[in-house]
Amino acid sequence: MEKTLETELTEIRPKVLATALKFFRASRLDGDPEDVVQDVLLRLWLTRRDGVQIQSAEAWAVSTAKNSCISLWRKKGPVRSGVFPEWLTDGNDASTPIEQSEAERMADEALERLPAGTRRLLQLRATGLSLDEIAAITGRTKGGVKTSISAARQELMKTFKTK
Amino acid sequence: MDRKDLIRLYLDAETTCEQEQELAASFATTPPSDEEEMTVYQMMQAVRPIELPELPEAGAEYDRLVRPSRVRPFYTWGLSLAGVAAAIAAVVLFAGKPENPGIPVTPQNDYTDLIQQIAFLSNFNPAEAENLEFKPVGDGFVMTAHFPDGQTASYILTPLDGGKSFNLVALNK
Repeated sequence: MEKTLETELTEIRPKVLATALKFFRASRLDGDPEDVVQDVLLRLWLTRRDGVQIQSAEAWAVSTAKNSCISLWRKKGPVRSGVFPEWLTDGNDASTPIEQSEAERMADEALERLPAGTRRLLQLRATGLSLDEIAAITGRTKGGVKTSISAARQELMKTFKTK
Repeated sequence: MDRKDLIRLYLDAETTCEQEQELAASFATTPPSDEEEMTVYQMMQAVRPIELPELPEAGAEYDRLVRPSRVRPFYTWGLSLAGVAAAIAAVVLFAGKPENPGIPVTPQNDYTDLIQQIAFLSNFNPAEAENLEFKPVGDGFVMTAHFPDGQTASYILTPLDGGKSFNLVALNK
């Protein structure tokens, strides 16, 4: 029987985490290896969605995890903080000038006030992942993901209405 | 399903991905009609899909940082030495003590140093060392591990039983 994508992601997750943990320990890179795991699993999901054939998903994921670790390393170096993986900020460099309307700016501020993990769940959902797939990528339960997304949307509704 | 129903489901995270796309598409054709719809629209606009940057091809760099190849041959050797030391410590601790019950602790049979040596060894990971040096001293060797952060750890190896086994003593770190 063919595996579902979320089963595949769940099975691969520990290998990717081990690859990231090994690097974080050896290089003393400051940050959370879980960010690398989510980055890699999301890349795998996007690659599958785009119909790209991958012979061994596990080998692909481990190789991508190595590349992701080095990418972080080049940006951050060892034992520094305050810099987030590029994908967590939608690939937008904070220094890039972006023309925004007042409403968009306020919406972004409201989003920024959410915990990073919750914001990431909303972003994963907006990328088109199902609750099962988000659960597999983040290592959380489907129920937990759903509750967090719902609570975050309700919270944003309240914030937006008061503005 | 009309837009109000979709919004209700959306706020409870009960919508499917397809329904959320349908909701977004409806705002593209029909503007928000009230405050609630406007708020949901703004929220959907604010939460943007993740766009991942290109990654470098850096497997070799990863391997170099995680597992320096020149250290690899010494890994098994280093672990073996630690094992020898642990075995010696075990013999001294468990075989020696019952034969001398009630003897007061003196510098000769105080095991504090030995326990400290074991603690040193438990922290010793040759895989993290940039290189290991062995210098012959008398019948034994001084082994020095050089770590990437500039620290060094030295150990003295002295042969026991004509070289059948070795005693390993941590000097410093």
